[in-house]
Amino acid sequence: MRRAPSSLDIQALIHQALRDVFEKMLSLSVQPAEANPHPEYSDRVVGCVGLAGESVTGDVFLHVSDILARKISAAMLAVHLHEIQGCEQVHDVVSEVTNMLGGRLKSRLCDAGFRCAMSTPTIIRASAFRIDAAPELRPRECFFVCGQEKFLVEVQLKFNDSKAYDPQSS
Amino acid sequence: MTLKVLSVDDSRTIRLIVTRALMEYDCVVIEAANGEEGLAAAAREKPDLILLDITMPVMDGVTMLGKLKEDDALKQMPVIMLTAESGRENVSHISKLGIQDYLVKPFRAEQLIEKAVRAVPLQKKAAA
Repeated sequence: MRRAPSSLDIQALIHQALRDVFEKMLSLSVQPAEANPHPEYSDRVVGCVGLAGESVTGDVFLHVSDILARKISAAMLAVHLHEIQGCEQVHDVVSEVTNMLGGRLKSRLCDAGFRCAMSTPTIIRASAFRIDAAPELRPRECFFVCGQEKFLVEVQLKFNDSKAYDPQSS
Repeated sequence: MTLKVLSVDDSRTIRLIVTRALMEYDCVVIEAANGEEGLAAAAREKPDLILLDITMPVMDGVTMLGKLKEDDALKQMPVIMLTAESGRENVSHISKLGIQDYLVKPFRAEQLIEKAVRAVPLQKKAAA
């Protein structure tokens, strides 16, 4: 029987994927953080990729503050923070980081027998909004800290093959 | 000999990282933002090496690769595929597409150079 990766697995997987991206491409370190206090954003950049397959569907969201998005962009592009102008570069970098995170999760799901395709990333930028998961989705929130900045990776998955899903594992 | 490297990726950031990684090498980097543009650039520029992303809008990397392989003038061009997906099935699939190599994102610049040097005779620029 195929088993859906447990929430713990997904948290560890996201942490490993983030650490890989941050260390290899940004030369920044990232650590898991407690959910509380929940990060407050005056301006937020959210990268999103969708996953769709016969047995699993869902989304991966990377929520970062505007300032962290700029720091990540500066690190990835190897420029000073003040050289990051406008939104285009920032959106492209956050998209790419989200794409790498989603790609890692997709790979893990496919290896576990849950074949799916991944969308190209999209960006949401706003100051105050909430993403509500559909009731059938199983949202998981993974909090991290990079320097002084706390951020969130939200994974919403629905395993369509209920026989394959072992609730004891999550 | 100055080589031509074609970087096909919808992410400007990745194209910039590729260009920067190859800066110390005797090559010119040509950029394309999707498979359609990449195919046109490959026909026009006859690059020595193509670095090809898989997931792109308009035309994805696998489709572009298929079209390269159908064209007698382009099918011998060495291709290194870049992918964010490291799953066994994906890696196995892209390995069978007649490519030179593949590189999983995220990657370090040194990993990209190592694979590019293995694929084509890329030389470091002579010190000024």
